[in-house]
This record gives sequence, structure tokens and C-alpha cells, in this order.
Amino acid sequence: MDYLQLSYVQVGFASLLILVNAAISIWLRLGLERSLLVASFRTIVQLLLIGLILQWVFQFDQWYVVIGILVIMTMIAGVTAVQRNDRRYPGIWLDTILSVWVSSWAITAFALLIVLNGIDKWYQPQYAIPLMGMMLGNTLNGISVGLSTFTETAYTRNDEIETMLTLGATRWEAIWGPSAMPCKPA
Amino acid sequence: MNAPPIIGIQNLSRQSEDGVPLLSPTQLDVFPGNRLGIVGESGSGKTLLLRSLAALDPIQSGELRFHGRAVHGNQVPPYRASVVYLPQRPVLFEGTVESNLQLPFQLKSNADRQYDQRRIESWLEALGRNATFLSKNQENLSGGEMQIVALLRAIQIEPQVLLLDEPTAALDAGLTTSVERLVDCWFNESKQQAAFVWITHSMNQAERVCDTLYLMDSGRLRLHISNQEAD
Repeated sequence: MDYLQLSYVQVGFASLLILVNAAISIWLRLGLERSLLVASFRTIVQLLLIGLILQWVFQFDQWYVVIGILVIMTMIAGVTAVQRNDRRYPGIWLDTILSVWVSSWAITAFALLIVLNGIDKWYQPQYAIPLMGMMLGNTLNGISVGLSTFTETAYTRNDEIETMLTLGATRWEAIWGPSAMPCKPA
Repeated sequence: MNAPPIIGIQNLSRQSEDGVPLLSPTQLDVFPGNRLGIVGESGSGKTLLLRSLAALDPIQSGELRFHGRAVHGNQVPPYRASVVYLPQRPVLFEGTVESNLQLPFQLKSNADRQYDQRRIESWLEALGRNATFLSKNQENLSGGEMQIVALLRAIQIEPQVLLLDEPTAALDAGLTTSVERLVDCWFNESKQQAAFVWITHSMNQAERVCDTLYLMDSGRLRLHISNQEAD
């Protein structure tokens, strides 16, 4: 398979954008230039390490290695979705990881097995890993926003939920109003 | 008293996250026909005790029993429909008085009960109000009227025990009388089968509406005075 090889000059051009941001930060005295440079250095190191791992995965080309990588990616996305939310409730970890898991894996499976049915193997890492990465990115954002709206609404409408409980509502009946909030357009 | 208690708590205690005792080991039985009053200073643990009786707060130690059986898991929602807690500040939902009154009947725990408009109207009549009150929007109600609607909403599902957490604390004398009269109507209609626990800051009110008084002090039920004994 042919890949487009980026030269050092091309990568250098991409890095220029960071330097432009750093220059704006110095000019406007925002004090962000140090964090920008540290973040850039971290990104380079992370991408190099991920590149090494992916190179090994691509060469190994076995379904269980690809599945293992996808599981790790999913767990990281689930944990990140919870950590973006300030409020917690019992069971939040299981709910969130399961939600990220089911939605991202279902859509990725649909893409790999039905949409891209011309590829050699369903687990071909060159397709499976970046596709899952894109799905997880979107799922992570969607679920963390929904989770945040849900917990915030449950907190601010605590009185209403408790009133429903005092009248004999189950937990599901009591939370039903607020839990539907993230699904409604603003 | 021959009948078994409707609800009973044994060795109920609670402490804050940093270990400060909020409720000392407490025992309380509520029998059919009881009209219990709890008086005490702010912060003495009255509301905590009532919320524990309502199974709204987790019980750290001790046991809550309903007709002799421990309350937990799936039994909690039907328990709460039988032992209804009424807070000091009532919460009504968007809509009319009537839609608020119909709300409890949409819940699984109250599936065997039906909204009875005639009964509501007879209670309203006892308070000197007519049926047009039912079509009022909740946004246009005064604090006292909201408390009356919350009380109607609670008593119409025929609870066995009503837990009243200073329901008249913010009301004027007229509305206080209305609330007391409504509780009295419901209690008398139950033919001594129901009971209530009423938290109040007013000793006069406690003596007026209750037959047994408890004093709550530093998380402990310290004193028990029967109105009949006092007489």
C-alpha cells in the first residue's frame, strides 16, 4: 500500500502554526507560550510512541492485537468522558464506559463490515484504528456534553426529583424529566 | 397499644463525613392513630430524623421497618407512597393545580389508586375554596396556597403516615389554620388508621395538633410528653 510520506520541511511548516500562536501570545502578553511549547513537545513524543506501536500492529496484522488496541482506546475515551464532568453519581463509570463502548463499536462495525466491505479483512488496522479513533472522538464529546447536562440538571432540579420520590416514584420515574433534557434541542 | 407500629426505627444513627454525630442512636415507633409532634432548636436533627423515616436519606446504621419488615430495595418507592414526606418549601410542577394533583397517579406505586376530583373539592370546601382553584396555574399561587396543594397532593394518595416538616413555618395565621384543618380532615377520615409526625418550632401548635410530643436535642429524642398526661 502506498502512503504519502511527509518531509521534514512539510512537518516544519505545520509546526510554524504553533510558533504563530506563541508569537501572538507574547504580543498580547497572554502568557500561554510556555504551555504551547510544552504541549507541542508532548504531542511530538506521544505521536512518535503511537507511531512505533502502530508500526508494530500494522506489521503483526492479527485481529486480537487490533481488538486489544481498540479496547484500550475505548477505555481511555470512557474514562476521559467521566473526568470532563465535575459531578459524579454511583455507577457513572459503568454507565459512561458502556455508552462509549456500545455507540462507537456499533458504528465502527457498521463502517467496517457494511460500508467498507471491499477491504481485505474486517480488522485491517489501517482502517479499523483510525475509524475507531474518529468515532471515539465524536462519541467522547457527545457523551461528555450529555453527561454534564444530565448531572447539572439533576443537581439544579433536585427539589423536583425529591418531590417525585416522596410521592412514591421509582428512581427512573423521578429522574425521567431531567434525564430527557440532554436529548432536547437548546 | 395493641396494634403493631406502622413504622419503626431502631438504633438509627448518622454522622457527618468528618465523624460529627448528627443523629444519636434513636428509637421511634409510629402506631395507627398517633399524632406525634417533634419540637427542638434548628440544627437539632429533626429534619434528618424525618428524612430518614421517609427513606430519603441513606441510613448509616440502624434499621427502618414498615409493618415489622425492613425497608430496602424495590420496597422503597411503595413505602414512600405510604409514608409521605412534606417539606417546608413545597415544590409544584409546571401546569395547573389539578395537573399537579393528578401527577402521583401516573406513578407505578400509585397504580391502584385513582384521582378523585369530588374528594378534592370536598376538602377545598372545608377550607372555604371552590373548584375554580383547581384550574389556577401554579405560578399564580401564594406560598401558602402552594403548601395546601402539596398537602392535598400528599393526602389524596391515602398515606398511612404523613411526615410534616414545618409545613406552616412560612405561613400566616389563616393559612396555618387551613393546613391544620386539612391534616385533621384527612386524619379523621382515616378512622384512626393513619398517623402523622409533625415537626414544628411552635410549642402552641405542637400542643394544638399533636397528642404526643418529643423534644429533639443534639440529635437525640430526649423527652416524651403525652398531651393527655400533661392535662
